[in-house]
Amino acid sequence: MTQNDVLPAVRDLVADYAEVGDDAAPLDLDSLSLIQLTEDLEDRFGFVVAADDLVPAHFDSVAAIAAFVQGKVQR
Amino acid sequence: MRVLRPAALGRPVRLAGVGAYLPERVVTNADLVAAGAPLDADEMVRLSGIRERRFVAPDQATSDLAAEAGRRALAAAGVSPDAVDRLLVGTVSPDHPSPGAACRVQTLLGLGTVPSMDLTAACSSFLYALDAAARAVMTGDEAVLAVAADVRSRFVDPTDRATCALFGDGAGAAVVTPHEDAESGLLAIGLLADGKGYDAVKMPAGGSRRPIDGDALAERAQYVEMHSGPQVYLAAVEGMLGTAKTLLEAVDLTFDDIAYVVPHQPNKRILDRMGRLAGIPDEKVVKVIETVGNISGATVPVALDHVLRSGAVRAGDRLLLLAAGAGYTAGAALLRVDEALLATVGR
Repeated sequence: MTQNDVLPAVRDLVADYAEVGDDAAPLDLDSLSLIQLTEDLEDRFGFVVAADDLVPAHFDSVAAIAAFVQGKVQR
Repeated sequence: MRVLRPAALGRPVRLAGVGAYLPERVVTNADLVAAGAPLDADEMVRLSGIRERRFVAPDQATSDLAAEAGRRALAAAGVSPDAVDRLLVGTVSPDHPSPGAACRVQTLLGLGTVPSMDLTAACSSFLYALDAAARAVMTGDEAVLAVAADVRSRFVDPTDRATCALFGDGAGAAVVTPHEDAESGLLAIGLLADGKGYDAVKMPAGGSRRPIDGDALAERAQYVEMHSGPQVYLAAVEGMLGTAKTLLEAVDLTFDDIAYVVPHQPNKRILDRMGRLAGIPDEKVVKVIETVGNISGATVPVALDHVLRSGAVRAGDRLLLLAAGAGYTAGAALLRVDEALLATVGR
């Protein structure tokens, strides 16, 4: 799965919880939305998000989430 | 995590009786809203699955709840107070910072002068107390009363969106005794702690690092704080499933061999995630959270008491008790229910 596959899918999932514009723009996700989004990502991409994964660097923008997902699915 | 298997060491132990006590006052989500909670009742349900919880009366404290749960466990077990060799009370909310609540519980129950102490392992306190009780029985005690009791309502900021709806008050207890049968009773128990989570859920003031003073009160630092709720949520699932898998591997069983999982219940979503990741059917997960909330260490024995009295459990069923809590702490225990334990709850 390439970044070109991951990014649009992540953008769609994030759009259920936050305003999505520029992929690098900071996201405004509340706690429940972040939990639901992690589970959506797990279902869509087939990995499990660990507590240690849940850091701002992985979830502060659509681009960051896509990069995080890409790293997970390549493992 | 090292798994203790009492029977494998030639000293099988069992739970001779269990008991639970919840204070009478029911506090609904609407009651919390009326008291100033910054989210509405439906939002509380959506976020946590909790609809109501119990709060203590003004004249009650943790030792009162612990004593009543202990009294009920002793009565169920048919063990008289003078036959108890040791009292362990797991709590993060003792009546006072010092002395331990256990010494007052000892007096309330008429346990004489047996060793009595508190253990603090947050929401894992009951499993920590159960582990210590099993070890005491394995080294000579004939009856140990293991209690977990908490009054969280006095330490929750009613205006804090992250925590105001989560917690309740209550207590649960078990009488732990030697056993004749290596195939039933408390078959295995394992605990762990991981201090990397030390700051995730805590009460900043009221201890030796930061006594409560005017500044602390102004910052509301005497209340429980939870930072990074989503991370805590995932860590709780990891703690319970991690200890469960290690314990089950040690006894060569799988979740398919478990009749009921009796987990700590900080949030219904955590239970749902745990079941989904481990492939545990929803009906096998004992849930009491909707009506009692998170009672910290008392949740597991309250849920255990609930399922044993429900009539759903049969002799020979395996129950897997799981906990995860602040610190982080976690634990798992495997109980195979014997006829005598069921008889104590009229089943």
